Amino acid sequence: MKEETVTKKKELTHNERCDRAIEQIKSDKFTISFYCPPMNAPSGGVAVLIRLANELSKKGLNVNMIYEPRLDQRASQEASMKAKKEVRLFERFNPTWLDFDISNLNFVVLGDKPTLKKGEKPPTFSDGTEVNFQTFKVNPEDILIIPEGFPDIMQKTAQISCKRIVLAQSWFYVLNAMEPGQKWQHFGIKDVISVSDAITEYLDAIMPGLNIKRLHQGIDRKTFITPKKVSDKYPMVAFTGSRGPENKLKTLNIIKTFYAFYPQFRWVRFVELKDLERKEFGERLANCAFLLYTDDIAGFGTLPLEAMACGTHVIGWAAHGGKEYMKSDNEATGTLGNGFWTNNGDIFQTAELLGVAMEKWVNGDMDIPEISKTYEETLKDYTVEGESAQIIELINEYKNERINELEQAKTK
Amino acid sequence: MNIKTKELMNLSKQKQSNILLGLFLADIKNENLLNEALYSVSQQELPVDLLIIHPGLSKEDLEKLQAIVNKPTVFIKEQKQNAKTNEVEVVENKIEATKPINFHIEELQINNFSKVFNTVFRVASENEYPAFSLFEKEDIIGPKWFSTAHQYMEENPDMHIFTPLIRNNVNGSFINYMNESAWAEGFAEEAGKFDMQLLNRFNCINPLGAVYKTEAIKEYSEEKDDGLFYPMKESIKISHFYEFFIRMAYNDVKIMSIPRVGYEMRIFNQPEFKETSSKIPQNIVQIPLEKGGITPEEGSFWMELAKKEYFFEDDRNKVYEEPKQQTA
Repeated sequence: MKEETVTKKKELTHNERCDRAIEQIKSDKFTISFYCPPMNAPSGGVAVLIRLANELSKKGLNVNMIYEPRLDQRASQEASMKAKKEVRLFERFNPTWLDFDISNLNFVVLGDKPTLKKGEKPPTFSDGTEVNFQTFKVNPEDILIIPEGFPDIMQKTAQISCKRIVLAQSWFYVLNAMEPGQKWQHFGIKDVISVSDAITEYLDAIMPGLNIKRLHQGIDRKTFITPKKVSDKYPMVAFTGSRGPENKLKTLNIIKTFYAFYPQFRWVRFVELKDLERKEFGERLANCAFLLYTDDIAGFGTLPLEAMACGTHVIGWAAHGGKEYMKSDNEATGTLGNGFWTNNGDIFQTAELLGVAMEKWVNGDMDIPEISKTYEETLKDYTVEGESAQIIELINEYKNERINELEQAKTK
Repeated sequence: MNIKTKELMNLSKQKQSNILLGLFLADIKNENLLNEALYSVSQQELPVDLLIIHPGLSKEDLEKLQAIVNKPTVFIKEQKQNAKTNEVEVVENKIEATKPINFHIEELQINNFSKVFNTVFRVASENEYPAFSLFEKEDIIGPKWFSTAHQYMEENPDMHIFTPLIRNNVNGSFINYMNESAWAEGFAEEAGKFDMQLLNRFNCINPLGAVYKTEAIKEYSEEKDDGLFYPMKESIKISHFYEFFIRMAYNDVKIMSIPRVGYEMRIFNQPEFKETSSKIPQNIVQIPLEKGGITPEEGSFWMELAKKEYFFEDDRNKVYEEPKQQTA
């Protein structure tokens, strides 16, 4: 009988595992996974998440977008009726509404591979292709980024070995899905990236002790451009009703109050920015003289900054999220503000100020270079290049912190 | 420039601007208003040449007029606290124009607004002004208006007439904006551009302050046997400019509303109506016929006529006939 040689894979010790992870981090052989809600309708928050992942991927890092697919209810129902048995079809996450190329990004569908009975077909997306479910596997050197509105994911991943970072783009949704008294720290979360001073302040107040780092978002100056021709600015006011029906009702109330206060401006049009491709969104915003901004719960609020990039004047609510950049005229110092900001949620004040602003605009008082200069001054802190450099810098900081953690985790 | 009368209006030597601004002065009553109007001309960011037409002012009035044009003066009231008494007093500050007006004064017998318009057009055309405009003596032109219009002209070479937003003041009170309807939702086919459908709907355009490209207007004007061009039909009363704009739009002359206030129109209730003005007073039907008033029926006749005559390039000299009284 021939002697069989059995080579047994050597089990690594704890310290060896730490050393291996440190080496992997140092040589950039780790994976950054972004947990992403699979939204196929345009969403600012999801766009930021994917943009950051894309930036890191472009820098040569291993990046995965991970998502749990949603059931396509309508397609499933139709297929079930046709097959006369239950058929489950999933929605493929395919954010075609993004204005940047994501072809180099790897999308991973999270889920358990089903055990198929004889003759049973594997689960498919509604486009007919097979769903390749994968279980989430991580190593100590990896990083998982979780959006702030998913405490369930924070809880589910509490025991995994990698570093987890919450990306907080909103303060409003932080506590929404949490039990009273719960904190992210209860799920083992220590690290947070915040996109605004307001979010940082809020988190410091409700969950003191988190290690919060700041990320300044960038405004895409290729999409948001001031028209070259003055005549391409129309007496129109752009608005969005993206914060739900109640918010939209308030916005419409401002418009009606404005018309009632200022009947001489009945001819001024209001344009809702909805269901638009990013490029078209930018163009429409640029054609408007004003943006009526009524996002009362914004975590940061890029829309006013996008408007400034388009040379579109902003009238709106000084929501908590945007207070770091919203500046009103200061008569004492003679400095110009970058918008007509009103108390958050104040319908009457906003309608009144809209009339004041419109009067100034039709009188040509806003056609002055000083105003554009103020906008540029504001925008210089929020550049795409800056955002890209910052996310790399943040990942480098996390790498170093992780190396220290792993060093300290070694047993003496 | 000097006062000239009854000479061919050759302005080539005096020409300093590409825009000729016409003003008809039947008299120089209300000197304060005239001063304010001319002050607004002098303060233009983009200076224009001013042509003043009068039907024969006296030598004294002409001298007075020349003095005003040479240095228009306005009085601005300001509240100030008296240092001694601590009381708030109203102080009137006298402000003289700092920039001279390049002007020309011409005597011409003119009796209606169409003739004023046609004359300013002809002078602009003969003296190769690419554009012309008109204003009236009680009114004020916004200091940036002509520079804004010039910018829009540069940016939109395919447009031919540029109208300002007009602040309409009646008896000292702001009433509304005019020339704005092209921007309203669902009114014009293309936002900001007056089209046939909109103009046919109602008379929503005012000729004052608008900047007209001379050549474009000439193309769709009637050339009469005297060799002159008549853009506005001189036989039509009160709706002359309405017919003119519909005809221009019908002939594909592009009319654009610039969404900036460039003109303040000041209308006062008058005991009489002079047809040399384009401003139809609100009380026109109360003004006696012998003082220029018209009956509501006649008003409707002219408005309806405008909508019928624009097909014709020639002035068909339609006249209003009083309805015959029925006899028993």
